[in-house]
This record gives sequence, C-alpha cells and structure tokens, in this order.
Amino acid sequence: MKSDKEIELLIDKYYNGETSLEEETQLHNFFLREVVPDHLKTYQDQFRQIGMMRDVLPEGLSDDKLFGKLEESLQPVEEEKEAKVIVMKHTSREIWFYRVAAAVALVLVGYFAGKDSVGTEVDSLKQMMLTEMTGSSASGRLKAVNYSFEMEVVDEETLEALQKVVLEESNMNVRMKGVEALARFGNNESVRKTLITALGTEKEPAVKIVLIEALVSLKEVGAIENLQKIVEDDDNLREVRDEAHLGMFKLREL
Amino acid sequence: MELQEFKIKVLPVKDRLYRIALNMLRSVHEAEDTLQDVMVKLWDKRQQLDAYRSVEALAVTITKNHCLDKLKSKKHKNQLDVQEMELDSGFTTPYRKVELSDSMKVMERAFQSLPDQQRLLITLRDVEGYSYEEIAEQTGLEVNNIRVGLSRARKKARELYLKIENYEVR
Amino acid sequence: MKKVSIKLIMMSLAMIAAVQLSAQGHKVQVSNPSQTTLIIKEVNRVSVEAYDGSEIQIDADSKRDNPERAEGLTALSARGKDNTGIGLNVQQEGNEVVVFQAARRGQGKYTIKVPRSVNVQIEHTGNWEGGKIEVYGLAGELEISGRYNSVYMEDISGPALVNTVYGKVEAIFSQLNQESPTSLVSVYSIVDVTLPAGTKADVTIKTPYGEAFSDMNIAFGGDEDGMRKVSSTIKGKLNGGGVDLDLKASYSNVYLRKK
Repeated sequence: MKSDKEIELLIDKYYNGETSLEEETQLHNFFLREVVPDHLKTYQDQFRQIGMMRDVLPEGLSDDKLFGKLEESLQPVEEEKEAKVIVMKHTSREIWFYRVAAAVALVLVGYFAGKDSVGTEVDSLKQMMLTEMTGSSASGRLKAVNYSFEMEVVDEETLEALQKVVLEESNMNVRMKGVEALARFGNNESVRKTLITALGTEKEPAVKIVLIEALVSLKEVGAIENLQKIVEDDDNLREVRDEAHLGMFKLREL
Repeated sequence: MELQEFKIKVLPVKDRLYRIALNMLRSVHEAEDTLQDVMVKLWDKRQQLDAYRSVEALAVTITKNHCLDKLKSKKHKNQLDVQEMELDSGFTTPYRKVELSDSMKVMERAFQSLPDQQRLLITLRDVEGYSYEEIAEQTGLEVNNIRVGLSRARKKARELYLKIENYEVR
Repeated sequence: MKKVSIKLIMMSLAMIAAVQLSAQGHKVQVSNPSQTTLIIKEVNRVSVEAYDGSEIQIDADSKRDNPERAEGLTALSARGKDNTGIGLNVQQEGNEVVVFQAARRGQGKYTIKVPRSVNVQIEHTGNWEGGKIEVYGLAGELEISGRYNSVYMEDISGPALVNTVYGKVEAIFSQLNQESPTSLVSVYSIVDVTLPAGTKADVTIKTPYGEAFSDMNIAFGGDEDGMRKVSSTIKGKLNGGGVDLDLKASYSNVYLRKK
C-alpha cells in the first residue's frame, strides 16, 4: 500500500489528467479503505461514487429486450398490430418526468395518424399510464390519473381504467381525482352509468359531493334515484344530504 | 454476418454500453430504449465492422452519438442545476442499490450535473477504464484534448461537490 | 430551521425520558427502508418520526396497566392479539410492516420512529378517540386517511396523499417532491400548508364553501402583496410550475404560506 504522501501526489496527477490507468486503480483501492486520513476525506466520495457507477448493471434489460427492436425491424409488418406493453419498473419512474410533456403533443397527432410510429409511441405512453394507474404507490396512481387530464381524446381502454379508479380505488384522494377525470368524458353513456353507480356505493363524503357535482353538471337525470337515497339516509352528513337535495332540485327542473 | 453471430459479438459489451447510456441520459428507461436503437444501428453498420479495431469501439461510438443526439433533440436541459436537484427526487435512483450517505448523494448529483461532454469522458475513463487511445477512437478527440477535458471534469465534479457540501452545512 | 431542530431535540429528549421511564417498546428491523411500507391502522394518538437508523421503533409514552388478575394472560381483540405488550399488534410481511391497535388504551400516545425514507400509510376510520396523527421528517411517500383526526406533518417532502373529514390538515414541507403529486383534503376543517418560497408546483385549490388565502406568488392573474382572498377554485403556477399540488377544504378554508 502506498504512503499518504505518494497518494497525495497521485491525487494531484489525477486531477490534472496525468495518471495512468494503473495509478488510477491504486487511487481507487486506497479510497476503498474504511479509514482514510482526515485531510483526504473529501476526495473519498468522488472515488467511491465512481466505484458505484462501475457496479451498475442493466438489470431490466434482458437480451431479448436488447435485441427487441432489431428483431422487429427484421420481420416487418406481421406483429405490428399488437401494442407493446412496456413493463414499468419502479426504478424507471422518472421517465414520466421527461416524456409526459412530449406525449401530450403526440396524443392528438397519434389519434389522427393511426397506428404508425407515432401511434405506437402514444400507445406505449398510454400503457405506462395504465400500468401506473394500478401500481402500488398511491401518489403514482394519482399522477397517472392527473395525466389523463392532458388528453383531449381517450380510447375505451383508458376510459375503462378511469372507471375502475372511480369504483375500486382504495385511496380517497385518488378516487376523487378519478371522478373529476372521468366526468370530463361525460358524453359517454357508460361513463355516466359508472358515476351513478359510484354515487350509490361511495362512502367518503368528500367524494360523494364531487360525484353529485359532476352528475348535476352533466344534467344526468338518471342520478335522481340515488340522490333521493342519499337525502333519505340519516347516516350521511348533513352537508352531503343538502348537496344531494339541491342536486335533485336542479335535475328535476330540467 | 448472421444475426446469431452478431449477437454473440455484441453481448459482451452490453453492460458497458448500458452504463455509458445511463450516465449520459440519467434515466433507466431512456438508456434501455437507446440501447435497443443502438443494436439496430450497429446491425446496419455491420459491414463497416472490419474497419474498426473492434465491435466494442464502433458500439461505443454509436451509443455516444445516439445519446448526444437524444440530449439535443429532446430539449433536455443540457445542464442540470445542482442546487435545484432535490436530494430525494427519485431522479438519482438508477445508481442506488444501497442507501447513500448524504455526502455520497451530493457527489452523485455533482456527477450528474456535469456538462454532457465531461460526463462522457468521466464515464469512458473513470468508470469504464478505457485507455486514451481507445477514447480517442470512440470520440474522435485528440489524446491531449481528452486529458484536458478529463482534468476539467474531475475538478469540476469536486468543485460542485465541495460547493454543495459547504452550502448545506448549517 | 433552528426553531425546528430545537423543537425536535426537545421532543426527542422528552421521548428518551418517556422510554426510560416506562421502558416499553417494540422494534422491527428494516433492511431496505425506501422499499418498505409501514401501515398503521386504527392506532390512537400516533406520532411517526424519522430518525437516522435502520429499524422501526415503537414506543408508548405511558405504561398500560393490565388488571392484576390479567397476570400471565394477554389482551384479546377481535382484530388480533397484542404481541408487543403496549396494546399493539405488529406484523411484518415482505416489505410491509403492519401495526394496529389490538387493545384499548384510554390515554397516552404512541411514538413510532422510522428510517427517513420509509413509506408510511396511516388509516383511522374508527369513530372514537382517534386523536391527532403526527408525522415528522419523513422523506418517503405518505398516505394518511382519517375521519375525526387532525393531521399534522412537519419537515416532510412528500409525496403526500392526505384526507380527513372533521380534522384539520397542517403540513410544513421542507421541500416538495417533484416526481409524484401531493393532495391534501379536509371536508370540514382547514388545510394549512407551508412551502419553501422557491417551491415549483402546479397548484389547484378548491374551497367550494370556504375561502383560500395565500402569501405566495401564484401566477394566474394580477398580483397583490400579502395574504389575499381568492375565488372558490383556483389553478396557478408557483415559481413557473412543477408537480401537481391539490389542496381542498370543502367547508372551510385553505391557507398556503411560504416559509
């Protein structure tokens, strides 16, 4: 093992870009030690960090996946129709950061351009959203629901996913947002049915209120029956019953 | 060259290419995506392979170019502001297998916020351990410029690290 | 900042004292904090506090007195048995640690110390003695659902999904996680949020029957100084925009402050 003096010299050389690979290895080995003299401590993190970067492996990238695009390009047309499902790992969540904005712009284009390359790009982004919507992190699910607000048009699959959120999501913050997200597509028959069903089953007062607001603004007369039940049910908070009563009143006036 | 033969030649460099792409793009997903594209490119250029000293050199060059293109076209912020990157933004997860000490997180941030070219040099030399001649072949830079660039990158990383460490000591 | 640390120190001192007095506690080893979720169900008066360590430490500040004739017996509950000696049932399964109230305790408070990056879910829907839910210093994901409970969070960075019906929600962020959204909801009480002045966010504030006040520079129109009243739903950007931040108080007020 080198003396501290020699190491100091090597450090100087290193920062001047003058070390050989062998000398760099000596430095790395030196800083791997648990105990490093105090005056050299601030250098240790740099070498340790590089050590960690050396250990990174492409764990999510199987050989099949690596050659996926190549294989695809060699066998044209046939399997085009099957939308690729991108498996989301938790570690790759930051892709949202970069791609959501781009996706928003692409959604419209993709819608009109059909299933060409842009189309598949949109598909895979949509798949990411759908995957995240059923993920284990509540905040991640909320993010996926929020993302749907960026879409002007949605397909059946996305609508179904949002309906599932409204009926089955366990976290109240996410469910409430789901109601708001779904209500945007209230011209769809099954969406309105889902909102009515949810009004009958929902337990959280805050979500009930949002459901009532949504159904009233959609002028959904079919909701009156469930509103009546809420008004008559003493278990409901007074404010929720008031809201339901007001909603019935507005809908009957139509 | 047959596809199978191609795969066998390329697979040994997979890990290295991945680390290069990851350090450049700072996103697991984008690194994985880029590597798939690189494979297509590399296959298309397989005839040129003989002109290169090795598959590895060509593969590294293509990966590097792909990453730089991506950084440009996607309007990535070329340089991240170290002060703005949050300690636990999730941004730094690609490297985390273990919980890092705070000062290691700072170092991680410092590396990630280096300019593209400097990140590339650190990756090729310090992480992958390539010789100056190899790096010259991969990047098209003169050996002397590589030394200078590397020296700047190493100093810059340390400078950023010390700056935040001092800044954050209360 | 100083104020906070003094407060934290005093609290931890108080806690040490409490622990020494009663010496009642339970520990769970955690190998990978950021992948670990602590789920707390129906535990009354609970405070979750981050510390630099690798285990989850659960302490009760007052001794639970079992009746003398219970000597040698354990308390029974429909939900499971008290396997900690402090009225709680604690189970560890994979990446989840589940804690729930197994035996009634009329008073006293539970303090659960956790590694900073652990994810925490707290649920309290029972309609009696829920008490305040407190969280300090956590950097992991927070999911809190209460009914009669007030929720107080300090020095957190989110993301946080919090909802309660009758209690207030108070949150002091040390920074706001930009990766995933944060949403804080109270039906009948206030939502009071403090953010570092430079926080970037796309903020939505809904107060259908209440009012919203802020001294932050929310970009959505004309700017005035000081806390000001705004209409029932506002959407705006803080510092150029960033992660989604939803605040809602259906029948009360929202306060958004800068630190």
